[in-house]
Amino acid sequence: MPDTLARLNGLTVKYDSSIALEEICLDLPDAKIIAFCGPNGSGKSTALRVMRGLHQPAAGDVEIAGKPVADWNARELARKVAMLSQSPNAPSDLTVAELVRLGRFAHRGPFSVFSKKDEQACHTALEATEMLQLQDRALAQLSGGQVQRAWIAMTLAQDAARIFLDEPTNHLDIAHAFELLDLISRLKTERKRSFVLVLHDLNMAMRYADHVVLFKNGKVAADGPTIDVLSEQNISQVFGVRCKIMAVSELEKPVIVSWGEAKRN
Amino acid sequence: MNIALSPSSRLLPLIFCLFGLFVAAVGIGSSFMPPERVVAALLGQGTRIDGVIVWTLRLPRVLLAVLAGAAFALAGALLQRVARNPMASPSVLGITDGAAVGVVLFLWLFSDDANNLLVSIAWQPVSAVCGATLFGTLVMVLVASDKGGNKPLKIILYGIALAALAKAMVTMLIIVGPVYRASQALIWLTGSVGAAHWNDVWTLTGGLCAVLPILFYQRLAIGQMALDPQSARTTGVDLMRSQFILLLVAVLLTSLAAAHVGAIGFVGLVAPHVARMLHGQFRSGYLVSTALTGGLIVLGADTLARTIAPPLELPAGALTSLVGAPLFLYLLVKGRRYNA
Repeated sequence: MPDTLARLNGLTVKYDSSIALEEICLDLPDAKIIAFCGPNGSGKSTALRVMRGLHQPAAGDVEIAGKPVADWNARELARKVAMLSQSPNAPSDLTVAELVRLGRFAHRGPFSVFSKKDEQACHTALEATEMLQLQDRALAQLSGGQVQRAWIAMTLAQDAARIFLDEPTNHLDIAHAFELLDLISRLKTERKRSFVLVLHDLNMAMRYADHVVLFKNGKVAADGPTIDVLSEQNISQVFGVRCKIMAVSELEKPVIVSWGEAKRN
Repeated sequence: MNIALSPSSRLLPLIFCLFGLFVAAVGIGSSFMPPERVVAALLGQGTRIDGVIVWTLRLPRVLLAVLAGAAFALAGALLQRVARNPMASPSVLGITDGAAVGVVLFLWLFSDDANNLLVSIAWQPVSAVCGATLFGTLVMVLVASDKGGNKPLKIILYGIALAALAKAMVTMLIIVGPVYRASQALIWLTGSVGAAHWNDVWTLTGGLCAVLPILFYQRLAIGQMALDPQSARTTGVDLMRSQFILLLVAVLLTSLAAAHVGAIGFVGLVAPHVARMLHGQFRSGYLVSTALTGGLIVLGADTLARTIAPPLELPAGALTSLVGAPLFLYLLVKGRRYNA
């Protein structure tokens, strides 16, 4: 049983001629919540896309679930790794239930009908994201946060052990963002799921992630257990802001308070 | 809307309509035949003369209309899915015009001075398929080599450009080519099922039968294509492969149908939209519904075309455009929410 979720080896990724990632080497642990953090354009989404085989690296290789990503057949890989990209898009007259059913594609044979098991997986996913009541609504009739939860339900319905979410808290209000991350924690402990999340909110990463990778300019600035990586020094270096990490007596994890540019004051 | 209806019960009214129109279309003609005599003749229990009229004269034409309509409609539905654009259709993407270039080129190259064809007319469909494939491939190569975003729009733009180019080539070839062939080419270009033979029916049936298993095998992938390409791939679709296969199927269906009945316009565009409204594009059976609708439209157009001003026969393609274009405008105005 490999205890590595993914192994990135000398990975360089280009879009046309501009370099998005440069010689990245990473060993990501399995059965954890891993957060990819970093400034805009630092390469965290690209890393996620390459790990899911959506983009070909210019050099280096990626191993996922114990096999090079290029060796996976599309359907098999989808059963192992689910992913929600940053701005997914579906026709606005699609209903929530129909969208979630599309998440079952990898489990359905070309000649099989939509089985009880498929039905069950969709129901569980809709329930977990609190979308059961809204399942017959068309996407056009939903708020931004509800649409985001519908997409997350589709990703969960895929029933993969590894789930990549690119900015999953996008469009969600604070309450729903916490609910989602609580759900992710629950899925990790109860159902042994691994998660890789691209997160912008460092406090969310601090509270929920077991492991953090900090990206800066297409390189890994820091990588390791959350509490080691999210230090005052690392954060001010990577983001160019000043910050303080403070313990709050009611909370198990400390909070990050940040302000302004580091160079001033 | 009426969500409780099952897909099969949504198809039933369409099947009834098609059957009704089928019997009426066989009955209507220079000698009118009431439905019971049509059915009797179809079952081989009518008089001999009825049998001849039905089986030799009318049935090939009626069947060809239904089959060609189904083929155009399916091609349109597939292209709309692959391009993720509800405006995509064989005629918009230059595939029909590509087939026209093939046919006109064929008529021009292989006619002698006395306007006789030097080779068998059976080669005409082959040249149509070649022309359609060439232009379909060109559009896709241009789209694939385009580095910019908004591929759905790009497919339409490149398609329109190449369709215009193909139309210009057809016009030039008609002017340069022999006069007799020009009128033959013109009839072909408007699209008509008037010259139907059992041979045409069998070829088209063969084509549709060959394509059906592929479509059945790809039916789930066709559904996934409603998602953006990245999401479709993360759910496990081998997207490049599916897109390639379905494009090929669409080109084949279009050129095969166009080779036999000509460039009947607007069916490939309108039929999938009508099926969306009647059936719902995400329910199972959507493609069946589209095919039935396409058959219904072309058969209706052809039946109307030969009864509207007897003994004159209008080409069916003129009528589908006449009815289809306003219908499409109506859909556009009414259904702005259809933007995929």
